[in-house]
Amino acid sequence: VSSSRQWAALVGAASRPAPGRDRSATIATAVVLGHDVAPAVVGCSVTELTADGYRTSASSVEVARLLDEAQYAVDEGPCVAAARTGRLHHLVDLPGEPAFRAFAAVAADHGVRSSLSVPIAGAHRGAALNLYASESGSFGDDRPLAIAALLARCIDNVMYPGSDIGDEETSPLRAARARAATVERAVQRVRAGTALNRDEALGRLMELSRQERRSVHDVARQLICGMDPGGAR
Amino acid sequence: MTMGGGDLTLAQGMRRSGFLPEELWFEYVGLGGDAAQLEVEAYALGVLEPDAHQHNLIAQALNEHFFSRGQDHPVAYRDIRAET
Repeated sequence: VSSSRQWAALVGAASRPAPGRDRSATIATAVVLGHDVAPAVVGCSVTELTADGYRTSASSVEVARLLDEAQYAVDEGPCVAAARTGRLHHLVDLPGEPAFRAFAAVAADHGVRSSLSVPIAGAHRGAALNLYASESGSFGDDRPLAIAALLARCIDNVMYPGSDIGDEETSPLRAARARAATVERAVQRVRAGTALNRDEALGRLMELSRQERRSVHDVARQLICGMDPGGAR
Repeated sequence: MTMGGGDLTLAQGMRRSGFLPEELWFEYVGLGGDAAQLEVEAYALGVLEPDAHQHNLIAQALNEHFFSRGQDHPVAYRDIRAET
């Protein structure tokens, strides 16, 4: 199964949680996809706080589980700290890292030189996505951090459905839907009397926005007020 | 339909915009987009490949942001006709 198909399956499952879906299989896919976050990633896992301590609920390779368990044993390390505090822990160069010395020593034994632990926000007690890499500074750019954050939110939605507020009717979302209603009226106006489908009509509005160097919302408002900007139809 | 815009990819536009993922999604929803927030984020980061229509909606969402800051549609669109 290609990585892109696995991403599509994970993002689809996270976007539309369904009762009866095999969450364990989805999380197992997610930790495999952790290897896409940066080229030098050698392991990915999920740590959960439990009533008794910690547990690794999924790991892509055995070394990730071993590194997690080394942290559980001393109650200290980036995955423990991220799960407990809800804050991201990024260790750029483990051999030179002054914090978490016990973990750094175990990591060095396994050839791991940097790590990133991203909290999973919806967990009742706390949880974190952990990424381990064989090169220092593997997570230093915006892109690895952004992909890791996306992966953590996908895991959050799958493991703790209902905890995400992304689809709730917040004030910015209400405002966005009001703007969308105006655009939709303009789309219908463009479609009237033409053979354009909805996507093509919306594309026409976007094209006008670019040609006239105006916001597409301005173009839409002008159109539904009865004016025809640049021959929309 | 001739589309154009600048030469930034979605990922480059996302990075340059400084948008949080939910901010991009609100802008996208405001254009009538109906994909979920995580899907839009995955498209914008390049871990999922959007079709031309979804690509152009996200490009437009980013370009609306840039336009409000005096920049003229720096994110590239895709030609829907070329893919059909």
